Amino acid sequence: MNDKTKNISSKQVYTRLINKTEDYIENNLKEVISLKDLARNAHLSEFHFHRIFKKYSSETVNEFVTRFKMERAAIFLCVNPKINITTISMEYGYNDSSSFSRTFKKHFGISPINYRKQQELSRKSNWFMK
Amino acid sequence: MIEPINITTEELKDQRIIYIRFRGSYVEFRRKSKKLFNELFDFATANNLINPNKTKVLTIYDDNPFITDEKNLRTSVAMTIPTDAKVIESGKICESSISGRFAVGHFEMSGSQYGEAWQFMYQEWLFKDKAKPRDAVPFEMYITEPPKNLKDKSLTDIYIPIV
Repeated sequence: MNDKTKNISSKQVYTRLINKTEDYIENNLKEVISLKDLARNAHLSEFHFHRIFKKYSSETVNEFVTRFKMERAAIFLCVNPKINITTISMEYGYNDSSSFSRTFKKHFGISPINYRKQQELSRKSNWFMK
Repeated sequence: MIEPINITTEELKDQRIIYIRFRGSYVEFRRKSKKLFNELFDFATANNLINPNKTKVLTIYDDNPFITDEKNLRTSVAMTIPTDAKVIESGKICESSISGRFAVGHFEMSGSQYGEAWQFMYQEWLFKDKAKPRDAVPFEMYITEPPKNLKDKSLTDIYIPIV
């Protein structure tokens, strides 16, 4: 195997690892997800999982999980205008609405309530298919 | 605005799929989707996963382009596979499954009407309190093969996750 083939093959291993990790988070949005959980899901040691992840990703594992959850929460907030923030917090593995709101604001620069208002006001006709 | 032939509900239980997940803008995705579908078909053919009467091809919209940055925006090309199929993931191909309740809009439309059809399902149907949204990813299922041009019509179902 030459270096180029090795690189493609190791990139594909990483892609599959990320896909399986995303699928795991997708199925466990309500849980608090740790590196240990993700490594176990990928049948790797924490050390090995972390090493592969770090080699290719510009995010840390925690940043990755948090971004995934915040983006999903943002979609859910927008398609579900009646749901309250406490319920949303629980749905994404946060014990209380204030820690959820803080994390949300850190990611999007705006509180969940204001985010929803802003999206409702500016919802474009092609919101779903940019 | 385009309207569906009808809207039904469907409960999927561990519908197995194989997929290739693309990361990038929708413009880039559209440019590469044919190649990705071909890769998926080649894998499915080589592994005897295609049942001509049952196999369905899907596009899964894992993220929303107004929320996720283009570099992380995920769109997956996928294919249903039989319950008892043996799959060893390789290359870019992964396996997953779809479960849960969906509202299914059955559309006969051309390639240029997909945006309108999605808009109908959310703005004119879901947001008019016809059902309660469920937190899962929506997708398109191609019932007949989409034509190569943007004018001719084909049958496509749009699946929206609901409670």
